Amino acid sequence: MKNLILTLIMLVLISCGTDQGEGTYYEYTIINNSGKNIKINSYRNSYPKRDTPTTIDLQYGDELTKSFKDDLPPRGYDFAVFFQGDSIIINYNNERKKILTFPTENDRNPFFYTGTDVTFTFTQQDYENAEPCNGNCD
Amino acid sequence: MKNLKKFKLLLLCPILIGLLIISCEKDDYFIDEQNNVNSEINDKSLQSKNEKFKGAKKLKNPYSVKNMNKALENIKKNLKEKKIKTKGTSASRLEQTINDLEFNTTYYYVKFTPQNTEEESLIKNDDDLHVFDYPLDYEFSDTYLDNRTPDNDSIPEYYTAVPVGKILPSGVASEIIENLYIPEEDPFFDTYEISSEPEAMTRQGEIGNNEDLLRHLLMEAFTLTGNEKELMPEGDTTNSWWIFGSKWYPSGKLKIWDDNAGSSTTTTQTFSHWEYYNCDTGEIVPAPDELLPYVKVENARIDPIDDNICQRAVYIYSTSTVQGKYVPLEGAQVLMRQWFTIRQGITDSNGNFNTGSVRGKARYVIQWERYHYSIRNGSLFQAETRGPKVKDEPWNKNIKGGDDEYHGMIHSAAHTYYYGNRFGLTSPPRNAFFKRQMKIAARESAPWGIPSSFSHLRSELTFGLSAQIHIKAYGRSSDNVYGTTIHELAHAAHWEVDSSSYNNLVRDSFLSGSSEVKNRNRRLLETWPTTVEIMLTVDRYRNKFSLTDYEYGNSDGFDLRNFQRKTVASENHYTSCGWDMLDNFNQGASIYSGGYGSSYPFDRVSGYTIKQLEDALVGARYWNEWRDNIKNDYSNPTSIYLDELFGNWTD
Repeated sequence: MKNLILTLIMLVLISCGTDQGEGTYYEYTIINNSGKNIKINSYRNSYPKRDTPTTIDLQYGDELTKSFKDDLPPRGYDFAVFFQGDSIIINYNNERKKILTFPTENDRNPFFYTGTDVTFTFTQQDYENAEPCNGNCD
Repeated sequence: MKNLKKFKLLLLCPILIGLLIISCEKDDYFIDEQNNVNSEINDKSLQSKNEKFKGAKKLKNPYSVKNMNKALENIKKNLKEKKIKTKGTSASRLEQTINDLEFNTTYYYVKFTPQNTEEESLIKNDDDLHVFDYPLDYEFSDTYLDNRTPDNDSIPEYYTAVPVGKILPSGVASEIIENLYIPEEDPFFDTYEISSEPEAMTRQGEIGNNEDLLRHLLMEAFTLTGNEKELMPEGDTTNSWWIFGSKWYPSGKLKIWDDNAGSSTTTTQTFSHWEYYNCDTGEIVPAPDELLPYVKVENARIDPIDDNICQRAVYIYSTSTVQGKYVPLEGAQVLMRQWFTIRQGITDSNGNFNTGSVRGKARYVIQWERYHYSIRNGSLFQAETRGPKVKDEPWNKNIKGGDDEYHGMIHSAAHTYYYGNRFGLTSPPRNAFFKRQMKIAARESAPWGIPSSFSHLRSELTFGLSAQIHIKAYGRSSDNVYGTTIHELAHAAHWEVDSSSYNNLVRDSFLSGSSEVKNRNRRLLETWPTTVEIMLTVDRYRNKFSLTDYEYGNSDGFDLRNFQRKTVASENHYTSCGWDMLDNFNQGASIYSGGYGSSYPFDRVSGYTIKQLEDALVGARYWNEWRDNIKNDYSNPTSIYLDELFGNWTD
């Protein structure tokens, strides 16, 4: 009898298939502490390539959080999904700009980071390290 | 005390079995119940006395033997009273033949009531039986059929017409609902025994051959049962009843929208303004009360506004390009049903289909089913896309959106895995004697978080109530629905390759007390179907649709690049390892060497075939056993890196 119960418990546990388990929950945040309002234009170089930018405007001091509850089979989440592109241009108030792409080994590039709970802060140092663009910044 | 304990255990058994049954079904009930309330209100006028099919309209059956003989008697009577006459050189012999006629049962209208999956599979094993999970003598609205609530957790009843003498599936409870005479299926009417001079057009009140007789008979039988409107093409007002009986051959072309198969450009015409000109000379003139831009257009509408000034509309044409396009729907089963006459057609690689002939109006139905698999709308009922009821009209259908597209994309994946190019891989379990048709439940929601899954155990323990495969990818892009279906079918095929090792993997993946054991088993369990998922989906888009840059996992805003852009830390089970042995890209190399960096799996293995990887599953009961089988069974110069590749993911 014990074996029967054990078997049934086992079967209940696995009865809904082989892909059991909770999909991972992701939360990604960007914070603008650069001292400037920023505009982020993202482009996609991987298939399907996209040349028209998707834009995020982030005022100085503001932050933007996106969360994603994955399912099974999993799809994962990272900053390429967050920005909807693997190449971004950070426009610091039409004064300076910085191009950041995937892949990277630069820890001042959001694409450098992966994980389930990630926050990336654009700092004043990032602004200062960006290139002057004299209004031609997108 | 011991007895009490035993009693508790006994009590637990039915609870656990109950849990098994409801755990995977209840979510769909909830939705169906919600929708059903609306459909019942909308279809109140159709309610029949039969509580079982409340909301549907019971029709009088023109094909009952009783009705057909009554129709024949009316013809005989009209012949006697000279309201109908025979004609031609053999008129008197013809009249005698008709007077001697009597119809016997040639078909049975049958209901099957399978009690379990085994019995249901016996029905599905018969390739000649085209069954419907709703009665054929009712008129159902699409809303009704799409929102049915499963009846007492039971397997559906199936309805069809079978010729007298056909051996029915042994052991399956069946009931003859009515004896039928279907003249269209009677060879007597296909030959011109009575007259050798068939006429193309039958005239009312004149019978010159057996084709004339058939048309008079059908007209009489349908009129007696109040179904005569079914005999005419839609919108026909000529009252030319006699074209009804003519044969026609249903055909058509089916396409399905695929979000990832390329792009489509559409041109939209929008009104801009009126242009005014001299009616006689064509000279452009100012508008009566304001000066409009002079834009010359061709084929514009011309409307005189007075004797001298004409006006025409000027349109602006704008084009827009959207991601996705219609592609041929291959391998779909189209059934043409006119009452009890059912014809089947299968779409070819261009989406074209043809069926055998029917007479009168008939309805096009895509039944999302082939011999080896059946797609369920939710959990229990056969998924269908119902087309128009027409006569002499082809059905050219572009399927886009909603559950029709969802079912169509699941079908496309299943069709590829069962009937298409699968690179020599083992088929998922096939329908055969002593085997079952694969049931794939297309779920649109699962509020308890039930994911896409394959489980033969679930199906067996619920006596077939629960499908072996559940797909939960509604609303996702086409390639993801396709890939998810392939993934779950690959689980089923893995079980077919080596059921013992597969069951061992499943057991240890979920029930082992050690997380290390769980991980190393689950990783193999999920990595294999992930490999097939990538392989077959990439093949569809790169080779079938010539999208050479296509990468799987890049739709809906994601960017997985054939799962190469999954870091080691982010994924321990659904890994890219299988694909890594097929491709020649090392995502773990530094970015200066063209890789993505050290967070990604280091992969110096390449050149294996997917068939080799599948064959190596035999006897593989955990992660490294698969690796060792690959290493030992095949000669490959990169095999020296197998330990390194498999070692990316730790237990």
